[in-house]
Amino acid sequence: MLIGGYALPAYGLIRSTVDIDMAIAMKSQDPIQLKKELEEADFQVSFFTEGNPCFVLTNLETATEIEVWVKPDGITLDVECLRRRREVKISRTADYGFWIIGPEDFIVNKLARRDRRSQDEVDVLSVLENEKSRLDSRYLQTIAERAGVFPLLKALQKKAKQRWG
Amino acid sequence: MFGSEMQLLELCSKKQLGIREILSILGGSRTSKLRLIKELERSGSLELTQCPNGRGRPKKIVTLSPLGIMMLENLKSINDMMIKMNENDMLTVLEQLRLRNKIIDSGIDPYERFIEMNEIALNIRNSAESSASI
Repeated sequence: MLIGGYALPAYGLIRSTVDIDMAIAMKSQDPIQLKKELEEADFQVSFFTEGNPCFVLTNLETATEIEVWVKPDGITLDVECLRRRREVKISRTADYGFWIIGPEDFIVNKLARRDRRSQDEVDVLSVLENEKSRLDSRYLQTIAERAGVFPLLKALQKKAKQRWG
Repeated sequence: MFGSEMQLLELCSKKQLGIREILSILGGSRTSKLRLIKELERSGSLELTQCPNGRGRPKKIVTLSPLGIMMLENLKSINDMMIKMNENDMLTVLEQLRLRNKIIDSGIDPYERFIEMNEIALNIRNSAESSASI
């Protein structure tokens, strides 16, 4: 499923991004087989080492790079996280769609980024505001506490409340 | 908060620099930067050593002490915890969400608009890269 900027238009701001981030849930025996299959499909696989939270896929035909996260910052790719992912269509007329991370996991993933920038906080705030009546606040609190970003989330929510009412 | 301290300690952690070099890299008020160097030296975070400088006066080299390394790591952790966006960013969020709703109200799918914007951004990046390589 897609995470990061490519999941954002479903929940918050519509802004351009050149970074494609994808999260995959893998069984422990899968990695080597996955690498082999990707290379057979003409993808170049870089930084694929054990323990690395992500690796880079390059489509050799289009030179498009995708960061593939095995362990995305702050979130666990468990059954609950996968259950909450959403399928979106690229347009209203498209007959195929793609999976994106659920809004609560999106928020925690952005806040837990090791190199968190102001843009990540802006993205989070836009989701908190736009999805406020639809967010599962109990689930959000649980995963934010687990990731150690609950105080930051509360501070952002408080700031938004003070500013916007 | 602690922005100037972090900037100075980070600079000194990368390479050995003289006071003049530090002042010229950091820019801004020389007096306040000099005061900060002295303050961090007094607190044990920076060390000043004199190095021979040809025929001229010995040059004072500023280095990060082990305490300074520890302080820098802790300041970075504190900085990571803090909210990074400012008031303007908050205004941008509201404005952008208003535009998003306008797009949806006019019957356009957010992803359709996103793909269009991305194509434009990619074209700009590609043409900038190709003109840089010419």
